[in-house]
Amino acid sequence: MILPTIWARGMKNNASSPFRFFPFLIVFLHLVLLVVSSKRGWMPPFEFFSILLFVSNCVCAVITINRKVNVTMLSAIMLIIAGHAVIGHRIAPDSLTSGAILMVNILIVYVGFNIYTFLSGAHFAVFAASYLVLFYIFIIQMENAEALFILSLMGLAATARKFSLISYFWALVASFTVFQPYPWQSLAILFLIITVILSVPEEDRSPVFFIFLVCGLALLFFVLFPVFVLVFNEDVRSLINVLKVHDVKMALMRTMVTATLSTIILGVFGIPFSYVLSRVKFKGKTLIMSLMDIPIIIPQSAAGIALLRVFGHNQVVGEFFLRVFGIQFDATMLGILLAQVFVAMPFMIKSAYTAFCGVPPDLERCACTLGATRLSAFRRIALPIAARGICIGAVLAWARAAGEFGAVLFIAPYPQTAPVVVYNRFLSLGIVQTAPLVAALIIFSASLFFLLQISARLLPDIHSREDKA
Amino acid sequence: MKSSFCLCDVSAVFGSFSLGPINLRIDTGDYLVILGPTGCGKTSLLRCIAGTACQSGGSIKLDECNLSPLPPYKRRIGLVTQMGDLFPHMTVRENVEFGLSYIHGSRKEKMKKTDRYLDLFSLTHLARRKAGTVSGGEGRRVALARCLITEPSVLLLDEPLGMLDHNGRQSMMSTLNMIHKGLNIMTIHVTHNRHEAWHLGGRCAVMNKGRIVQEGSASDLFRAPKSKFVAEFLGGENIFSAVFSNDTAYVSWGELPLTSMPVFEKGYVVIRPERIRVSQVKNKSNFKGVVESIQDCGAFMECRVRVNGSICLVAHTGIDSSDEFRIGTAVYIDWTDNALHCIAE
Amino acid sequence: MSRWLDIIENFLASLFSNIKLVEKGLLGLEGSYVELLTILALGLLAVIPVMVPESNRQRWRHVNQIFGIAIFIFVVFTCLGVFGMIRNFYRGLHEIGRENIIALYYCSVPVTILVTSLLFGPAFCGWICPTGALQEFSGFITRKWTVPWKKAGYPFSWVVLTMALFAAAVFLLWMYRLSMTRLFFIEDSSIYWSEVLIILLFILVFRMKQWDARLRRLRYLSFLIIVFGAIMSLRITSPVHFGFAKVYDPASFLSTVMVVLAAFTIPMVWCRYLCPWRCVIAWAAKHSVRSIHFDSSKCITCGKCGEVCDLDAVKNGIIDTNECHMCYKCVDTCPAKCFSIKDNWKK
Ligand code: SF4
Ligand code: SF4
Ligand code: SF4
Repeated sequence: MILPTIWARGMKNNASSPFRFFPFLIVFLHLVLLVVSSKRGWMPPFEFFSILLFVSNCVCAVITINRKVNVTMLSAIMLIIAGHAVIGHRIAPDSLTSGAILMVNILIVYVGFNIYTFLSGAHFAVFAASYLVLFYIFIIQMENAEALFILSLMGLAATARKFSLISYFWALVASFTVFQPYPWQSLAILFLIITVILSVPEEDRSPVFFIFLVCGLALLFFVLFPVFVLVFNEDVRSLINVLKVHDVKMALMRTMVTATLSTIILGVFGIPFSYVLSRVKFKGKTLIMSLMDIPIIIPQSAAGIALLRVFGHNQVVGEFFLRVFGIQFDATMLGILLAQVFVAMPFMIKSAYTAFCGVPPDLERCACTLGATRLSAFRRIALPIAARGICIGAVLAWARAAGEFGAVLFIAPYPQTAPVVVYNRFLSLGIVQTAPLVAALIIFSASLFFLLQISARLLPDIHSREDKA
Repeated sequence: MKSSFCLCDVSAVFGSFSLGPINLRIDTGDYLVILGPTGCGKTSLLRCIAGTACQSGGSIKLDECNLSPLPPYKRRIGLVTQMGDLFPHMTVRENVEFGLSYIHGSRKEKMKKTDRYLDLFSLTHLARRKAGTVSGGEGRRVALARCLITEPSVLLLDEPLGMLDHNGRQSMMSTLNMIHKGLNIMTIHVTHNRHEAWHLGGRCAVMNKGRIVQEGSASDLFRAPKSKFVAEFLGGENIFSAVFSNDTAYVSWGELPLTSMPVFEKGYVVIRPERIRVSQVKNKSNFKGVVESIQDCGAFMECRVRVNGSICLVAHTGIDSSDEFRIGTAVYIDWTDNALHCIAE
Repeated sequence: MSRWLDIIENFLASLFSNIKLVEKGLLGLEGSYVELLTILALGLLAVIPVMVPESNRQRWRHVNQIFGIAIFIFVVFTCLGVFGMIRNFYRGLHEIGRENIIALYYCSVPVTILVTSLLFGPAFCGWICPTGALQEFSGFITRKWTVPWKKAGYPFSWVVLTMALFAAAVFLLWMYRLSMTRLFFIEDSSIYWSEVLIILLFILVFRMKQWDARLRRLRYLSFLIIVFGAIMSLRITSPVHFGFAKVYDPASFLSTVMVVLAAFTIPMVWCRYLCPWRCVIAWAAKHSVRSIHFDSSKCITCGKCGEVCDLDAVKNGIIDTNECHMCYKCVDTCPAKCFSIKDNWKK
């Protein structure tokens, strides 16, 4: 008795809508279907769940009519509810599952309608296509994946209205289905790529840039993929365990100490030198600059042998050192240092050189007229301004020194540094046993590297501000 | 105490460009403006004086002491470069303090002195800002303060007003005046802008191609340029080559009567635009022309008049002359007696 | 003394050791232990904010919150704790392709919350979250002191200090008690969070105004720790987690008590400074379809909205979506009716 009165009142409010009878009709239809199907024995009469759905249909009808909401949309939702009430238990094993599927369906209809009304046709096309593809993947392609279908539909409902969100969503789905053996790796890489592409500002979105970007990203993918596979495939416990092995721990410590020492050595000798290079013109400067690159161009093993040829204990120079100072280079920490300094030198000097070139010489001249000597102008003006560039260079040099394998292997195979340990372990135990160690090494050095990079970047970026001024 | 600062035959070589020999002398309280086009060697000259560039000959003397062999940090000459060259990694205060660290004295005194100078140049509110973040005009003031705090005996300014907006120029101008009057320091100010010379200069020197071509007071230079270069550089318009005889200058488009005959026969004659009268009424004038363009320059109108169909004369007329004549109006031209100036070849 | 503590603890243990009304999670999907009820319930609870009549919205909200606490503590087995959701999400993703149904089991709660937050705004925080609800309810008791304190701009206040001291005393005593019978494990890490909470309280009581905004960034740290823990496959329990487990977990229980006590002192203190799940919700809120729209032309800058907001998320109408819980309190209080709830699909 109450229901019809409310409806009648609502009808007056909503009199103009041609669909105003829909909710009413659907409730009626729902009731008829329930009665018919229970007569035929398709469902137990007055099943709790069906009655619940019938009631909720009534509630929906009241809401639709009383408030001016989108009649078509709510009618569609009501139809779905009615359908679930009647045949839901036949497609789902039990009423709870049916209820969950119902909820997800309602969500999809709600979102679909809103996308259709408020957004472009393209959005709706993407939405519909995504639904079909998800259906294909989870229901037709995979077995026992109905649960995932429910989950992914929810994700689709939440993300379909924005191209950026839905591309992340698809990256997630793709990495957990298509790229299945490597889900986390591909997820990380795909997210990276999508973020890069989406963050390109509107005015730069030309196809040319896009293609160029994709070329670069493909290269990056090629580099990142093996690294990520190695890192993500190990579980954390085995990483920690391998770090507890005495040899490995010692090697890590040794690598860090020697790399730091060689960076310091490079700093002490290299920074003043690169300052001079950047300030003074002299004959043969270009030659010197290109000679600097020798450690980069010659193979590392060759570098190792060359060093051994000179500093080995039975060579002339090596013997001299051994006899006069009692210092032996091969197979000692000193040898490691030697090799590391050798290979890391260009990184340090090049970046310090660029950093000093960025400091206008006028500043130092100015300091001189204010009473500073050349040395103190260097110390108080050039050095602090170039500090950031130098530090970044030092971090690069450090990383290069720590990662050096070829040269170190020849001149000082023992005491082992981290890369040498990896090599020896690979030779003796094989790839499976080495993988956790390598993953740990990658994580360790990458995090250290990034930490150093970040802290170097925390130094004030004086240069760019100077450019703006 | 009166002291003087002399450049005697200073010369220097920078690659293919050679500077000098240059002779200059300034005394206590002098403010010398050196004018010259870009690339005439002004900046190089300053750098020679300050010692950050090497000179190849001559000597720089402060009173009786020869500064040439001294390194820059012993010369006690302050140089403020065009961009200010602030040390971007320091705060404004540290910048100003910089020079003091090379002078003996107690910390407290130095602090006090810094405060005083910051106040003098109204920089106190900026003291904690990084030098890279201050605006152009503020930056120049910081550079000035930083330089003057070391109490140099000579102050060299390299285009201190260049690349500033109007407000910046005004405040910088008054700061410079303040320094000049208040601190009474010998100053050499280098610029390519003749207006600065008028505003600031007691004395002026014009430089070209590494040499000083004329020296004198600003108005002298302007009224009686000694060469065509000076006339042109100081904004002279209406420069015509002429032959002089019988109190008349013969130019390609007519004969111009002169009040006084120059001692040379061939040269140039300059007609000052602001002394030219343009009118539609013929009084004693004997030149007729057609207005070709008329442009509002704020304080006056720049009116180009084509005379005899070939030559364009520039005249500065009153601001409401555009009501009087338009482009194409036929006009008569004459000028006051002292409008003409003759220059030797 | 010690005997009394024993009695209290035993009582609590017996109270919470058999808390669930059902033996297992309600079944679904071929009798597996997937709790589809969570999806259903969360979905329902999330749309209720739209449905309820505006005139009585706050009352409905509290009913919804109570319902949320009840259903998740007494019926559901999936963790709705603020740590558990992050951990379960990670674990669920891991199971995809191996045990899809288990994946659904773990992911259902976080995914549903995220999805509803993306569509209907971060209403989970304001309307459902048990942790948030507990804090809000305990905040009611001390409104008398905290509201004037807030109005005065958080000066030092003896009342608030006393409350903080009380919370600290309870914590220390309880910890002393627990430490006699128990070693602490990673699982008990929620007490570390409570520790931080207690320290926070004191920092806040003395320097609330200056440090408020900065300390809110602690949430990111908290989030990172939990994510790292999840990757390391550590099981870290959160406050209110004890409600979802079948066994009595003293550490989680203690931290729940601490959250409640701390919220006496500073309203919603956990949400403001420590909740890791809030980071995720805040992201969703930023992209959500529904948001509270503010019409500045109507505003009379009376400041009432800021007064009622427990999160200090709104000031003279300007809402910080990073902090807002979508409780609609400001909407309902504004005398000038500046706020409207808008669905913007184009955003
Ligand atoms: S911030 Fe965290 S604890 Fe607070 S209501 Fe939101 S989810 Fe719950
Ligand atoms: S309560 Fe309403 S009127 Fe008052 S300040 Fe807030 S938005 Fe403005
Ligand atoms: S801003 Fe308004 S809706 Fe958001 S938390 Fe504060 S009172 Fe609630």
